Amino acid sequence: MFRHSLLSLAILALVAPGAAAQTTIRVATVAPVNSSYHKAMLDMGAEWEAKTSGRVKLTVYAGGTQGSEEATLRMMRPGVDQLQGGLLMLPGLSSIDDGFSVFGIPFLFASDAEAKHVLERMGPMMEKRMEARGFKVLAWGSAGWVQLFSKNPLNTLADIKTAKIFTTQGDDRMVQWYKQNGFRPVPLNSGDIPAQLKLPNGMIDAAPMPPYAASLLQVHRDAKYMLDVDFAPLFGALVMTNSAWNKLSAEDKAAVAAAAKSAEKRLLGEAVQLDTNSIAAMKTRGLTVNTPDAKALAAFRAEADRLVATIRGTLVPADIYDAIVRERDAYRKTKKP
Amino acid sequence: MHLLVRFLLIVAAAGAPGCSLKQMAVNTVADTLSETGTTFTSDEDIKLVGDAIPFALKLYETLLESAPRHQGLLLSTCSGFTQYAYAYVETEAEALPASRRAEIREAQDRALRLYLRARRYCFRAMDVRFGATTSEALLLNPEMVAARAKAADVPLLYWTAASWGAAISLGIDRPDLAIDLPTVRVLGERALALDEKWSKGTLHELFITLDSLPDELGGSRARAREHFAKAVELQGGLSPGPYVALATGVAVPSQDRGEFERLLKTALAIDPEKDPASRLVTLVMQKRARLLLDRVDEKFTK
Repeated sequence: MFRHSLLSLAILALVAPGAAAQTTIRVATVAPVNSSYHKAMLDMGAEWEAKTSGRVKLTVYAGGTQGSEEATLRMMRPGVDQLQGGLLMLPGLSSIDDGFSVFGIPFLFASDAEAKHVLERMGPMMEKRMEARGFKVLAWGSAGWVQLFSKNPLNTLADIKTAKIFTTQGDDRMVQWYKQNGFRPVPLNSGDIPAQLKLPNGMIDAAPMPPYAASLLQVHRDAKYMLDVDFAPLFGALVMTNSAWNKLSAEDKAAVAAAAKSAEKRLLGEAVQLDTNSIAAMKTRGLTVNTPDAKALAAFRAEADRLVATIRGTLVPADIYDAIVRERDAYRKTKKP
Repeated sequence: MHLLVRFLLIVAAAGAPGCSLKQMAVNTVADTLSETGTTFTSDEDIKLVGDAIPFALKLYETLLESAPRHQGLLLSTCSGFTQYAYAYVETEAEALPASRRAEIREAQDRALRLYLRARRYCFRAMDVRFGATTSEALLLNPEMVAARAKAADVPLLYWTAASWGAAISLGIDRPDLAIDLPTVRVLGERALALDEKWSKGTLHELFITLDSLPDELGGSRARAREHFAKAVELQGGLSPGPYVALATGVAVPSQDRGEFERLLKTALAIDPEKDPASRLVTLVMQKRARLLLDRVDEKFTK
């Protein structure tokens, strides 16, 4: 028995160095605990662990416990290394690479299919730009489409220009763009949206946001109208720092990347259904959805296209803008939006 | 055994011609079952109770087929399913290692179904207590429904809120569920206004969790701490529940690892024998506290 134990210890000592080479990738997200995004990431983590025989593990800090995306990016810096990755949305991605801000421009895309086609075509280039800035894109994601919720019915762009519309605090260039094009933007912290909409004479009377967030925040109780025109997609990406990525063996990189691509189907694909279900739920609680007829929608789109062109070289680098519009227009020639 | 004999009498009565006799027997057992006292909550054997509860719950459901409007039994069934789902299904899922995702998901889905089943019984109890369409009105105008409740309705308000809130927590990706989160708060606030001391401060414990939500969802960490202080005071510091609730609800989002560990160690130091009537509840919450402490690195990055 004693000898048997010694033998076991000796064997353990032989295999220990390899067995101990275990990496835990710590990833933060503002997505709520138990949300579909959180679940997709946890499933992906289990696959990492299984496919790498336990060499790569994932810990997900969900629900925004690690703070804003800006804060989580600081925690990913070399030397800090408290986090090795994040499921980042537009604010985080744009702060790494200005080019991402193009996806937040209102009315640039006319449909989910169109936006995803452009993302697919532009993805490799964006991934290279991210890699040059220290991040490996593991998967793309979507938090759905931003829709416009308002206290009064808004059916046309002219109507929208009369509204006191929320815009993200700190994005001065976006505020200027809104103003130059005749809108009335009000920069606020997004956490203040529900309270301001509740006030009879609040600072805002309209807020663009994805329907899922609107339903969770009970926005429909005060902003009882939704304009059924897709405002902008809310794309995101699951990223890992290059330093963490480069520590993985080639074999583990392949397993991690494959599981992430599998998770991407859910991270990108489930949001549309979530939006649809959220709108349906809000309608049962009093939300009115205004759907423009074909003629009104065409007029809306024509005016929106003219506005969008003004962002080139100001809000978005010209080369990125040109590439995206080229892809978008090529898609429009082959398919209906 | 006493209950089992009564149950067998009912089964025998079911075949008898005297329908009213059967109904009387059913109601008698239903009354007894809905007043089970501390038979379960004072037990020291978590597993024994876990094995026994499913039978008890099916017994409740069987009786409800014969006494579908028995408010007390409807409430007991609601609370029973809620507690079983929390203590034996959701907590067990949490205890599994992250690598066993399929089992975790299956257990969480099951817990969600059990919470929703619990809520259905509370809805039925609401309909019996306040009128046929109350549970529908609750979805559209919860304030109006809650305003009709009196002090005696506090248990019904609480268990409706608890089963509903627990379901939303697991089903946050279901907008049809998540949209009613404010209703949980409305029911809890009404109960708190009617009898804040009910069940040794259980309502304050509920509000530690509700007020731990982000500000934009109606939460406030300052208020969560006030409810924590009140719950501990009302319970004489003998329940781990408030400590676990504050640790997960406030210390984690504040990323205060020191407070998290202090709270959970305090929860674990509580002697279950000092409150024998709640022995099982103490043991279940301590099991959760231990699990959270073991996995502290999954909550904090430093």
